[in-house]
Amino acid sequence: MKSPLRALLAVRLRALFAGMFTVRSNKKKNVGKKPSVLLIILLSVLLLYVGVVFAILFGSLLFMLMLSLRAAGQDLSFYFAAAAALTVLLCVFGSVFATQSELYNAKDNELLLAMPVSPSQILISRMVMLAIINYGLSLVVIVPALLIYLLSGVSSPLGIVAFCVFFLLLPLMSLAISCLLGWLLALISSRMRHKNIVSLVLSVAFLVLYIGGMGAFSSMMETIDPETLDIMPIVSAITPYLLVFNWLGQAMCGNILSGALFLVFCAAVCGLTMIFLSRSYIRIVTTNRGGVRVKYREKSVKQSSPLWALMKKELRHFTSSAAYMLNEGLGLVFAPILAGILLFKRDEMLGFFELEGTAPEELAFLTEMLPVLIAGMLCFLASMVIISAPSVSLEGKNVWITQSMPVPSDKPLLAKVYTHILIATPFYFLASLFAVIAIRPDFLSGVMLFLLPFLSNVFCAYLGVFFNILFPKLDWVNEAAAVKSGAAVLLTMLGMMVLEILEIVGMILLFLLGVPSFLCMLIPCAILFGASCGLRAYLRRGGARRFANL
Amino acid sequence: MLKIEHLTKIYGDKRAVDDLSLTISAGEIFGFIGHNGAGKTTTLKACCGILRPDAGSITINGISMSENPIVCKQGMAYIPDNPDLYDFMSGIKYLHFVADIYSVPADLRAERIRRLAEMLELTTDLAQPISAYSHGMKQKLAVIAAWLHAPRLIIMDEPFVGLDPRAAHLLKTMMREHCDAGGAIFFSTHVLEVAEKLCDKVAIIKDGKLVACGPMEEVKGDGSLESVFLELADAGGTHA
Repeated sequence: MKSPLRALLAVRLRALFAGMFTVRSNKKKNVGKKPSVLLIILLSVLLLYVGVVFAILFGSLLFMLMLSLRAAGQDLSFYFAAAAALTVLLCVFGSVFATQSELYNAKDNELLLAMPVSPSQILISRMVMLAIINYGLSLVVIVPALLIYLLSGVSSPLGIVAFCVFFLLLPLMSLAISCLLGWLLALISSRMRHKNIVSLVLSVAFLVLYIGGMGAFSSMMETIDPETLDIMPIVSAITPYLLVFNWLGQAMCGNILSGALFLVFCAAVCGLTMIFLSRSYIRIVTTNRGGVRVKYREKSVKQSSPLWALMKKELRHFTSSAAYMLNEGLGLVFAPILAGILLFKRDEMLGFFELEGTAPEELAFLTEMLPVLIAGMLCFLASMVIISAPSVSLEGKNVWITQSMPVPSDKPLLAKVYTHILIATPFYFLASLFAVIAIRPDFLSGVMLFLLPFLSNVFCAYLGVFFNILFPKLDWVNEAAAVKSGAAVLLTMLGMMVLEILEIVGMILLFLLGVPSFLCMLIPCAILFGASCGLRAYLRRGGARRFANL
Repeated sequence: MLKIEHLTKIYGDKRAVDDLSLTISAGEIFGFIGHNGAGKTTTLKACCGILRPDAGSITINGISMSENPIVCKQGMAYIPDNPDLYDFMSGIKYLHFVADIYSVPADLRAERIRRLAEMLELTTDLAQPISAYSHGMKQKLAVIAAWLHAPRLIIMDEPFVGLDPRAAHLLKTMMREHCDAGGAIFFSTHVLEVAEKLCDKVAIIKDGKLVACGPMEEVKGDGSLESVFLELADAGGTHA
């Protein structure tokens, strides 16, 4: 017999695993269906791939930092402090919304509180799961940071032990911070009428801070003179903002007092958070603050077609969930922003090609290739907009509604595809417009700059629903599980990324073979159109059958 | 109006519904009772096209559910045992969504929403998000949504669970009026007293098999429905 805590932990871990791998529907025949080994291997490889990409990204930044510090004859305290700050920042950003939904908004809170288990046991079981997420996220910084430290030539066995001790404390620190931020988020949104908008604004603000901070750090690193590798101005500028992480950096360089201070700080943050949460957990999760009551006033409405009604439902679902918008629609803002930067920094961008010694014919060649590159960039960003990918899973327990309604089974699926296209198209149209104004291509290439990103989006919309109807997960307890960790989400995102990389490489190869730029873009357009038609045909028959049987 | 012939539904090794045949005519309130896991919900879901039968057929007004589900569904409504509705919508948005799907004209739906919401005392809460509704309020909303497109056949799974006594009384009145106007209702319940007073006909299902079926007076005979149900549940066999 398992102890209550072990049982709770087992449930949480099963939920974490099931969120990723298990394919389940509401129908009894599918309950308990185990994922195939192939699917587990495939998803594990994809997860590993994402982890390695991020590790390389952070690793390259830290490697440059280490080289510069060594060249300046400095110790590595700044390196360790920066790596620690990056770790905590990444973990907090990556887990704050999971923390909010897992800790404060979980649907099974009341169910568990009614059981003969102490609130602290419930809390610990939830914290363990969040700690696993934090440790997972932290690896993409900690592993490259450790490898670079080992390569630096100044590592020692004691230093490696100290690195492991200090850096393995960081995810706990970030867990404590995200618990407090999640509580704040839950508190603020519970008092607001438009909770989703508040959550979204806070999320975007947080993301902007994160990206801004990372961007500023990267820009500073780029200002390092490659000849002298003089990093000291940057160190002086950033050090005051690294706060307690400076203690960690100094401790790694032999300062025992700083090490003790850092350990005390960590213990205090984690301890106080645990005390605060264990004392007020029941109150926090059971307090019903009541929203602002909206009085119903009858308004005239127009009748919509069933398809448009289904699309409005999808649209409302998307706009009502901050987690959905943030995880699946964030790429929407990147495309116009990047194209806008291209527009306003046009001269600098184009000047990039006018390097000293570039022959006029080479310059003309590069300029002609520009539309291909920009179209490729916009298409790549389309892989970050995967609104349709969790849309079948998000039906959850409500799937009976559409199933019992007098609409053909393909209509709900097509409504999901069309809603994705409807939401994404204006953003990509704007991005294409900015790009066309900025690079002023010939007419046909200009048309392709609109068409190719649009068709990438259309294909992505179909692919998302295709994967989700193959790998639906309707038995989620928390919506975030369907939005964040479903197999369909991961497969669509990475499938699109791989496709776009192949597409860009293919277009460049065609261009290098002398194919005109508009034709280089027309060929992938035709392929994407054909593939979308194929997926549409599947959704209308096999997909519809699967949806009816969910 | 609803004809179930030799319906069989199998989950793995278990025959959830086994060769079940029933006929529900216009003007009838038809009660469907059985112990937990007897196959009631599976039968009701198959009748409204959510589940596909493994064998047998379901016809509504002579139209096969498996061959023409859209036409069948157009004339019926379903209320599940647990009204899981779209939490991200307000009550009124959900009703308009349902009305759009069933192509209820704007003026007609406004009149029906007004009348039904007032009757079930939900008008002031219609602008609230469904996520803020209690179980009973969700149930009331599901009832309004079911009646909104004036279906001829209404299928309900445990419709009285979560309703306050006043709403439960209202629902019973609505059910009677619906059938008196030529409609039909097929519903499951565990509240045998309600079934006994309300139903014109009743069917008892045990382990997926029909063990009793017929007009209420015939099925219960001189005893109560409860005594017949308990007798059948303990002994097995068929009745009426």
